[in-house]
Amino acid sequence: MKKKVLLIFTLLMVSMTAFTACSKEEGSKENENEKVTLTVWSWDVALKQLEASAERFKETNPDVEFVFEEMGTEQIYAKLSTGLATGDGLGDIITLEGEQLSGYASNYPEGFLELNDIVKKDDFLPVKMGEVTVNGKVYGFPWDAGPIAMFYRTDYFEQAGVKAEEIITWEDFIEAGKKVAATCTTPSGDPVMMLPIAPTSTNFYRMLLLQLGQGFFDAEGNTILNTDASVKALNLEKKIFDSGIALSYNGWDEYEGTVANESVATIPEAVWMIGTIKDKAPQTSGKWGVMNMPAFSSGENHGATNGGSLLAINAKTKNAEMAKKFVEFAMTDEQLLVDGFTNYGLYPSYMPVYSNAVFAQGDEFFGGQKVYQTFIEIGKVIPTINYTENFAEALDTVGSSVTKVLLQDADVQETVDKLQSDLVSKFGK
Amino acid sequence: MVNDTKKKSRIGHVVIYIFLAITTFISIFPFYFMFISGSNTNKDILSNPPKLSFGPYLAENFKMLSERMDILLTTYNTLFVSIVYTLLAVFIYSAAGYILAKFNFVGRTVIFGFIMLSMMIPTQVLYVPWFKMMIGAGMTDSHWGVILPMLANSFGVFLMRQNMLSFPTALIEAARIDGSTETRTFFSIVLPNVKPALGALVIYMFTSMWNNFMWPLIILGSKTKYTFPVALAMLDGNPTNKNYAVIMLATSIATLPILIIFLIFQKQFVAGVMGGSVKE
Amino acid sequence: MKRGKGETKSLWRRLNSLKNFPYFLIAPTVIIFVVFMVYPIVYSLILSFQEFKHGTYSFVGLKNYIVLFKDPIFYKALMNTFFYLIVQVPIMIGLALIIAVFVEEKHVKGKAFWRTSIFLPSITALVAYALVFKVLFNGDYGLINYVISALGGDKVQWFYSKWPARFSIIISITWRWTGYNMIILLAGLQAIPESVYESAAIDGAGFWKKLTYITVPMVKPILLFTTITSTIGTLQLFDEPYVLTQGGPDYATITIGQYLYNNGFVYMNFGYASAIGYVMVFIIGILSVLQFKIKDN
Repeated sequence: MKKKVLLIFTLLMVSMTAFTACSKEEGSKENENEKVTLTVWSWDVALKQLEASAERFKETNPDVEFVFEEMGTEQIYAKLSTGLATGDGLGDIITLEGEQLSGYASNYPEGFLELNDIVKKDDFLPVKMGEVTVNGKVYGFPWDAGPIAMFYRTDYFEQAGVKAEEIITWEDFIEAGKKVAATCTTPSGDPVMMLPIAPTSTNFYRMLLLQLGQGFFDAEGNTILNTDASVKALNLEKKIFDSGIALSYNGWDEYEGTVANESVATIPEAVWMIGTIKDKAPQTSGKWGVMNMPAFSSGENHGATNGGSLLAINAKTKNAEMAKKFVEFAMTDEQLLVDGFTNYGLYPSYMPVYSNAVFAQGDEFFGGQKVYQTFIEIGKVIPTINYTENFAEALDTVGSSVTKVLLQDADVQETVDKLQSDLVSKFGK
Repeated sequence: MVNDTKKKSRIGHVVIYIFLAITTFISIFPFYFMFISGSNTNKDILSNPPKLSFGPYLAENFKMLSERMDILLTTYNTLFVSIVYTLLAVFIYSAAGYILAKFNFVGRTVIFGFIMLSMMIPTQVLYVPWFKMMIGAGMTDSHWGVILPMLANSFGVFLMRQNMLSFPTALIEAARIDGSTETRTFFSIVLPNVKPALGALVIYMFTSMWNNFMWPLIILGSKTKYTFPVALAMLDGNPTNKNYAVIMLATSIATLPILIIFLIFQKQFVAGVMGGSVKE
Repeated sequence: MKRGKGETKSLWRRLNSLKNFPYFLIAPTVIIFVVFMVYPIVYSLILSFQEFKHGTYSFVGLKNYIVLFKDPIFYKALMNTFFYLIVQVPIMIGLALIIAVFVEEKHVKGKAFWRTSIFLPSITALVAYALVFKVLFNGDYGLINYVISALGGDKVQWFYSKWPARFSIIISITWRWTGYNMIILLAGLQAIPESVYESAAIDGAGFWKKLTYITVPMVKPILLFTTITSTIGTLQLFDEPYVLTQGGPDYATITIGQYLYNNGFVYMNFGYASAIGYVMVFIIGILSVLQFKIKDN
């Protein structure tokens, strides 16, 4: 038995030394390596684009090594909310969705590197500058933007006798939708719905709210979810949802499915949807068009945005200068931005590249329409809104209110009043 | 009359077998589904009905998985934290269990009482302080940061104490009379005689760390340090471009080692749950 | 050198004295529990009176608790957790008891096989099995819906409507833990002397009579043990809703553990999360006292 105990202890010691040896090795590696290593966290096509950018960057900076780690957004946020306290175990360069930066940057003002010196305010779409600026300081480098327009199926519209240019207001949109639903059928024989709506998500509501020029918080960070605009937006969403022209879906897989199965005639979505449509429904080439979003019959009509990311730099990075250099290069090099746009639909928010010929071209998939011009125009009129440190939590709670109104027939006014008071009680403002 | 009872009991037997068969099927089927899905395509899994036999895509899925997750490193990480944790726990808890069961000393009631009470503390409450402590100790994003706080496991202490209680005190006293030192008695008389309990503890500790999710998720930052549960959740976290075949393959790889260990040591496993032995 | 040796020797002797030995052996446990249990418990109590904002903590008195008692999501999480407790724990314990009794029936062959395979689910990682169930419960392509529609039923949107989402979690937990409780009960059943059943059989007691009049009363302490551990486990439930439903839709499946996690590690309200933790400790304490009271009776 003694032998066995001894064995256990030896094993323990061996594994412990192995461990310390391991961690030492890591340390010494960095020392003997003259090369600078940058770890980049990103996902999906953004990751691919950054990899391509890194290749180009190395042509002029051969001493830089890149380590790319693919992570989903939720995982990145889970890591940031704890890791930013120390900066340990975080990537040097981190991709975030635009709306998420303010939460982390205001809770951990020391967490990200300030980029005031390399981000030139007037070069970027105002909405993106709003996303990267937290308490007056720039904590992120703006990347792609997500101006929203209405994608529509020209063939379905024609079949139903609906004309895109005659859809001016949401009322027109609903009427047109009823015609479409009554006349058109999908390849598999089901009736075509006018648009997809996710009743458990905030996307459509936030889009409508933005059209009316507001977000969840005012400039001082006060919750403003029971305003007239909020009631109006939620009422409209409910009206559209109840009018029988909406196809209800849940989750990204099903969203893609509505395109692939050709079961909807329109999709109000950001410019990056072009990539998904081409990818998931190649058979529909030539049958698509892009139009402006229908307007609320009265009141302001701003552009809306959905998604779009930015890059932030971990303040504890060992190679701050190189990280900044790379980020600036990847985010402002015209050829890279154009490639990112044509290859992956990453629509740049860096305005100087808009003069590039690519953006003036027509697209055969959209019957030759010059769709990108439409998005450039919309991009300029998206209102700048304040996200604050409470955005992530508000987003969850708003989502539950939307669900209540759409699926459980809750009263709109009561729901937003309750939402407002709950959040004010929680956030203190 | 006698015939009637016999008939009745025969029907009873059939009912019992059918019930057990169904329960067993439900228990095992998800494992089967997981293993075969790892060899099919995403489309096979997301079709109506899903494919329920082995497919030819195992190698291809494996290649895709290795691009997104360092399988060997993840296995090493998971093994490392599980083994070190188990070794430490076995030594510490068997000592504690022995002392709490067989010695009278000042503070025994307080210590044991507190350990029992702490079983009721939800672990989540401890995460925030633990995390701050780990920051202070510079142990965030390290495997020791995963292991050390988890050593405060009341169930392990409880399990060993219960087992030590039934150890004959006479043996200990006899050893003392023979002039054996306390240390010697513990290592060469007590420990060898509670082997089943030690086996049970080893397995309980090992599986609980192998499967541990929330704490490693919080404490580990770098991909190179992930254990299986964290790596799996990361793999699942990307909403676009989700490939269920790859996810199922990863899940299979994470489950396989523990499954093998279970099949080898199933007696100890089963005994470990109660800390008593289950007869055949 | 010599002196050093002498010192170690006397240390060795001191360690081995009957008076000191227990303290030496219990010391690691005490240190670990003081550092990682006592200290954090006190610390999170202090934290629950603080607020984390803009990188610093400030003392806010009872604010977190006051906000918490007005927080409708907290009540939802509380209700959900109790719902799981009241519905899932009895189903699972009942099922576990029936399986254990069946496996223990004298004439049943292949006891080891049944026992092993039914126990199998409880060795899986929570994340791993939750991922498998996510695929099986898929609304459009999941096998479960396929079976339901093959039997003539309507497809169920498991994760997107309130009650199905809750039941998907209940089904998953039951799958994972029934075998575990079955084994515990099995150990209890085996402790019942064979002679008790034999004399009952002579008196002509049937299966159900034996179950209700002998088995259940005899394993009562073990039933209580499984109930208490399952209760504690359910109150701490986190992994399954985290992977399967993310707490949705409309917070219909969120648990207290998950709400605590969200507040601390997603919204970065560490003080608020600690307050939730303390309310949880309080509730678990009351429940445990209640359950022991029932046992005493």
